[in-house]
Amino acid sequence: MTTNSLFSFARAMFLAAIVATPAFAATTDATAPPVLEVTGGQVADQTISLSLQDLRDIAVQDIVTSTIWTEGVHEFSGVPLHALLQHLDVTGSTIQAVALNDYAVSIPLSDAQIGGPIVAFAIDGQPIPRREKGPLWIIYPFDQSPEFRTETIYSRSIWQLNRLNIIE
Amino acid sequence: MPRFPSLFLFLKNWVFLPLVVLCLPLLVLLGQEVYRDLKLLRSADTDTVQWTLSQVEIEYLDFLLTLERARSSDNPALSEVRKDFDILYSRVGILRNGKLFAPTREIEGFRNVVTDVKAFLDQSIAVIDGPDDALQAAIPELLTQAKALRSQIRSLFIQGLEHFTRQSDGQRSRVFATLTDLAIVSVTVLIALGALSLYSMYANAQTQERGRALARTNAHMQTILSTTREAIIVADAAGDVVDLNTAAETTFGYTLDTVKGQSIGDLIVPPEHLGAHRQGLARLMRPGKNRLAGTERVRREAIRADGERIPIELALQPAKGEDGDLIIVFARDISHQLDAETQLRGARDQALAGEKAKANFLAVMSHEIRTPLNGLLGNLTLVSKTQLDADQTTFVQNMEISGRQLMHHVNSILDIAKFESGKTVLTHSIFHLGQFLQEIVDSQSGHAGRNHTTIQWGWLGPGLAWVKSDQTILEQILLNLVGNAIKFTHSGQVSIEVERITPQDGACNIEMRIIDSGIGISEADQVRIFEDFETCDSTFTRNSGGTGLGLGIAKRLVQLLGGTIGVESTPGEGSVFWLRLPFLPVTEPLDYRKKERPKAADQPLSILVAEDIETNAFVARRLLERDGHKITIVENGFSAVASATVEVFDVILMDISMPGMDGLQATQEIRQAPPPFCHVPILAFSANVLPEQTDHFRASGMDGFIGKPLQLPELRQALQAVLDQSLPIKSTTAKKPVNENASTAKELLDQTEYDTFLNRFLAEGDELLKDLAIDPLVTLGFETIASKCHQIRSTASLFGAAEFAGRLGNLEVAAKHSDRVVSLVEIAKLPGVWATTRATLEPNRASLPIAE
Repeated sequence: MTTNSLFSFARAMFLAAIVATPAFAATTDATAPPVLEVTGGQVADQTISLSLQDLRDIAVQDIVTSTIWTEGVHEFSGVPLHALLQHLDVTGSTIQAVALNDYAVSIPLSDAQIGGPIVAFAIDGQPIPRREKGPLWIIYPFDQSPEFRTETIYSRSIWQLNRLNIIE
Repeated sequence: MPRFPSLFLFLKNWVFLPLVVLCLPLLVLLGQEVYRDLKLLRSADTDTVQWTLSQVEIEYLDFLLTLERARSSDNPALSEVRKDFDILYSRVGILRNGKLFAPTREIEGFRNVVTDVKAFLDQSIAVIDGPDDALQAAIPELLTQAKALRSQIRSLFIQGLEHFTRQSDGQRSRVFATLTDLAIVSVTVLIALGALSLYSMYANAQTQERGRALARTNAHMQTILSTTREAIIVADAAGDVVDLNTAAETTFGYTLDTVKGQSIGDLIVPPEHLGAHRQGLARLMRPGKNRLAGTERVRREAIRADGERIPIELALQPAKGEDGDLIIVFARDISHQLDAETQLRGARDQALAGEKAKANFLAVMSHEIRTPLNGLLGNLTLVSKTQLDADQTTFVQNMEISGRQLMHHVNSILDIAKFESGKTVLTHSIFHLGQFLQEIVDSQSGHAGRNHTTIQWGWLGPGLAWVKSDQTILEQILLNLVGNAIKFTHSGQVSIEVERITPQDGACNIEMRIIDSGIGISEADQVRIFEDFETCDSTFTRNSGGTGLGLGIAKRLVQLLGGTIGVESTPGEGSVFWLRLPFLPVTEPLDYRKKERPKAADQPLSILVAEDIETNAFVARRLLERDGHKITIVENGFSAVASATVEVFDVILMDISMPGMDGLQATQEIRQAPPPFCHVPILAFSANVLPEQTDHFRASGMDGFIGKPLQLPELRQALQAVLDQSLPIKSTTAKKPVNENASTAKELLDQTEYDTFLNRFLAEGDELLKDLAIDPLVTLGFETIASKCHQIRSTASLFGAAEFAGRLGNLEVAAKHSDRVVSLVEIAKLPGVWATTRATLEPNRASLPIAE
């Protein structure tokens, strides 16, 4: 029962966040340095660099959830992975996500769905500093479903993300 | 296994099913628990924890390496230092804040290390985020401080690992326990389900076996139905055909396909019976107890498909079908049976007719033989009274002996014929057995004396006094046996031994043994002598004059009485003929003693006697006058009415058969006369003793009945009753008062009168015998015979000719019933009896009759 009410609470927050997004996006600085490099997109061997603003311009979605790496429930804001890949017009089966410390993990393209993970760039309305696992963090709606609370999903929730390699 | 099903049922109902029912929720609970555990396992973060812990150390070492490089380089990559610091900081942040490490943070050592490392990192932030030169200058110091943390970082990994190993061990054992519970419950449920499925297999097998048995029964039934010759039609409640068997198809000529659904009435019931058929059908289908039992078979006519009518025997049985009531019709074509029955009946009738013809032939032939034989014997008697020399006398005597033997044979044959025609009926009466036997002995003692043989009788053990049986038949049997015994015994003894026996077969309670000391019978002959026409040997037959029928008749008579007869004998020493007979012991009749001494009427009465036969009238006058009564005699009905309507008599004795107006008419006339004449008691005075006739008398207005011949005790009783005004209608059979009556007549009449009436009686008797001698049934007719017999009978009784009177009575009854055979038999017997009677009475006359 507690889980249930918690869950519905989280869901409500999540929906509210979607509605609130455009206002939040409009207040961001446009001349930021690139934070994400994408390789293996539409044109092979071409690297696309995206700034925070670029990401923000694609789409913004909030996920309110707890994580195993943090304490308490937080509001994460970021670009949905599916929207990002759609924006990049990516075809392929797998995304290789690479972190600052060169930790790399494969995310199947099937994960990139509506209601799926976002590439978060803000926590509780504030940009995520590198020292606190920023600037980009792939966040799944963990609290929403046990499907998202598996070892695999945890391993895909890569933080200090700075590169995406699209693999055919 | 007849006991097991109930055990199985018990286990199924009370053990397995509840077990399954109880276990299922348990199973669901356990299943949920397992699911939860598995979910926990699935979402386990142990790996992530280990990864993170090892990553802390790696990233710490990376940071150390970067610091080493930065210290030894002139142009150190400070951004790398900052990046690795941030990475390490991020990682340690997880240890400090991450939900993942909440349990490990409970461990003090772990928590302290994290705090120490965090403190180092936090205090280093100022330098890291400071200007490059300051950072560069601080690198050696940072390196030293960072290196100092090495063992602590290492212990983080070890402590965390230990904790999470313990945790996962606990989890595993919990999962193990849950799975064990699950397994136990599952096994229990499996066993219960197994038992249930065993039971259901068993039940299934049972059902299949029952199904097979049913199928077998059905097959048998089908075979029976298709092979039986009984036509079976199944119809529904409306009488429409549902099914036919093969026999029905052949019997009625229809096939099931063509008649299914058609009305049974239209098919096989003849149009004229259709209404009855419908009514019967409605009655049969009506609920309640009106339903016909199927066992009752009725015969009906049915119509075949080709229009032929056949007789059938039919039974209906209502039954319950799937779609409502059914009628099952069992029918059998009985044409052949009826033919056979007809033939059989014809054959039986023919056989009966043959038997009857035989009996008739025997009776007629015997009669035809007897008539001339009587003539012969009569003439022989006449011849013997003429002058004869010694030789002639011997010849005549021999002829007479032969003639009498021949007569005896013919009489025996007549007896047999009478038996065969089934005319012999039992007439039971009450009599004293001792007196009866004494009479037998008395009557045979003269006969025995001629053979120098003594005869006696006696009880062996306690005796019986009054009994009920057919006295006449018993007498015939005993006379035959005693007669035989005397015949074959010379200078010896004949004794009748009577003994009460315990009834074994039937109700034979008396054994009579006729014991003689005669020549005896050989063993071989003993078995034959009771057969018809069997004698010991032919030579002997000639010597002793046996017909070979006597014992055959005796045996028949004994059987008629319900008894048995047998013989034991030693040749040369004697024979014992034994009879076992049923006698109904009765008490002494109440009227026996009363009859013995009836009082004479106390006062003299004036009596009118209407009697046309002079002899009878004369005897009546004598009897009544002796008692002091005043007598008026009239000869016919008219005179009786005339007298009775001018004078008031105390009582009227009215003969029934009188010329002109008979007694009944006269009585009716008198009853219509004015008082006081009409109130005079009238007693019927008749030889008619048939019970139905006494009723007739009473209906005609008579008050009582006195049998002829007039007997003093009876007359006195009746008169006494008149005086007492209590006149019971009484049918008294005059029971052979031979001597008594003879003496009465003699006592009443003087010798001249006696002779006159006796002569008249003898003349009447001769006349009758003459009339009866030649084809009497044709010349006289039954009616005349009956009336003649009636007339002479009363007179005969008067002279004590009881046997003759009895024969006449029998003949009268037979003639009245137009019974040809019995009449002929009785007629045939009359001459013999008459001859004896005549011979007995004639010597009583003082003078010889005047020659006619």
